[in-house]
Amino acid sequence: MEFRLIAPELILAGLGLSLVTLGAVVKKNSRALAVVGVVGSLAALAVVLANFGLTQDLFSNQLRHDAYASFFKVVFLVILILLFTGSAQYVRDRRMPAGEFYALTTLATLGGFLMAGSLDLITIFLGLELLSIASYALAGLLKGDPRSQEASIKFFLVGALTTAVILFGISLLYGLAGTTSLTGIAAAVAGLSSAEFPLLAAAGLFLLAGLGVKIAAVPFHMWAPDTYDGAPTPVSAFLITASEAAAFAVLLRLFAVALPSLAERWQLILGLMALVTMTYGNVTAILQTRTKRMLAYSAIAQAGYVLVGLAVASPSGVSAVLYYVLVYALMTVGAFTVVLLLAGESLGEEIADFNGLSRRSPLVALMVTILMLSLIGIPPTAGFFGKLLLYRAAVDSGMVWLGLATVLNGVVSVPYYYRIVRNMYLEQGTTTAALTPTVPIAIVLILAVGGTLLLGIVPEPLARVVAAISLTP
Amino acid sequence: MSAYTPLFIYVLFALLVPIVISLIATYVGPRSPEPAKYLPYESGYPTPPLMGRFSVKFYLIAMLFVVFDVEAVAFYPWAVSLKDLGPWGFYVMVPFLIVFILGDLYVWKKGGFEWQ
Repeated sequence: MEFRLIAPELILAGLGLSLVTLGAVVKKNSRALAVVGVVGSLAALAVVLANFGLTQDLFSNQLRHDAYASFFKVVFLVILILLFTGSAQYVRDRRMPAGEFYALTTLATLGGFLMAGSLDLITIFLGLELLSIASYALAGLLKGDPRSQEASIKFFLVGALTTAVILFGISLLYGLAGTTSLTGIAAAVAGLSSAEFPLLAAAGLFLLAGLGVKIAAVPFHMWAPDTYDGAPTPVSAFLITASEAAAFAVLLRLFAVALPSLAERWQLILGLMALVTMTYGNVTAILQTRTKRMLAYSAIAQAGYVLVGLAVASPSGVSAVLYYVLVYALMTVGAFTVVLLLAGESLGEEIADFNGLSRRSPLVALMVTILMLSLIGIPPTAGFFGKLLLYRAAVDSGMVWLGLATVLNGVVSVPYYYRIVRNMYLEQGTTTAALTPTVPIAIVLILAVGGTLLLGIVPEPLARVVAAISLTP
Repeated sequence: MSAYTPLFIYVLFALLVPIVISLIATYVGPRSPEPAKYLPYESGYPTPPLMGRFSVKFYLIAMLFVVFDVEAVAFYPWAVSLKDLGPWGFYVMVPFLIVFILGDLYVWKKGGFEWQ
């Protein structure tokens, strides 16, 4: 039974090792690696879906298999499959080391699995490091590009400091509770005297700051724009979606399972953090002229929306986060795939590169429009429904101001998302040659845009699934 | 407090032993100064000036050394206790060996063992 439940992890570990070996042996054919990666990830996804409803503690409570972990694993694998499918061309054109790219992305995903699927701080930390160290290398994979190197170095230096901060938080919690198990910590914290509360608050603060870096929440976001902008495009998409989702998975578990008293007392702090993060991201994104930099600031803003679900500290907040994380992954991977498509013609770096896209390919322009509408949060897209859930969770727990802030920020975000749409339809491009996406990129775009529309038009099935998922054991 | 007494004695000894040995070496040992003794020595190579540049290739060698050294160190306790661990202990080590060999293969194929 235990091995059936960790089969997805074993598949990913085996896949990562085979990809790195294949990459060293097969030098020419990077497309074959992408195929192996997609097939392996699909196999892992099938096993995760088959095991979805099972709940069990594994390996002396080091791992926990439940619906919450399974949901995040599905999100990670969807991201991985879409990215592997869409990035084969980019990897070849930019002469990226293919074996390393596919293997490190797979292993980083395995780190995300461990983070989402554990109730023990040590295992969570191991997963976090597996994810982070692979990400540092991934961000610098464009060896000849100084901006990729800058992205990697900044990410590494901030990340190494973050590791120290998180470990310090963990050590404080261990000192208070005498255990690294989240449920054990919850039991110990419930019996703490008020004199020991400052120590608990310090531990919580260290962990919040450390994980805040990973989700690029203000004021821990300084590394994010440079890293997301300079890293190879598929890697940026992976970092913005999977890496942030994994950090959110840990934050929710940590505050809901181990530190519920802190989560209640810190509603205001977390709410303000969400407010500042989304406002800063949205306002700064308006000023950007580079596509990936704009998407990077938009990612900061979106992390702010997800933080709303953390701040409300209620079951409806958790389901809103789960819904939004999946929707956001689809929208972002879709948007980055369009950047990948334009990168095939050495375009897409500047927002002006979207000029006149509607005349070059009306279908792609329509898809980008749907993605942008969803990122703003306009019906009938999934982004609208995701924001609605977050808004409702905020209002239901009495934080009306936070709900209103979410809606107002949606309005603030209109100019920069809409600018891409306007450029595509109203501006003249440098070329009018027809743009036809390659088959893999077309598949990814159809899946991402289709998913975004489908979850926006028929949101109930997924909403029911996430509503049934609970965090506490 | 008395529980810590052995620790204090231990720390005291740990400090005393090197001090005593250094003092004995200084005052009792014979001395014969020789210029060659003060020259830097590096396994037979002609040594570069101390502040000079090293080839960046040493960086890779050092990294590989650390990786393989750590992996080799894991084998010693396993080899010593394999008799007690039985077949289970052997099979547990197989995945580790596979990862180890794959890493070796990777470094070899990537040209990590070549100086050029």
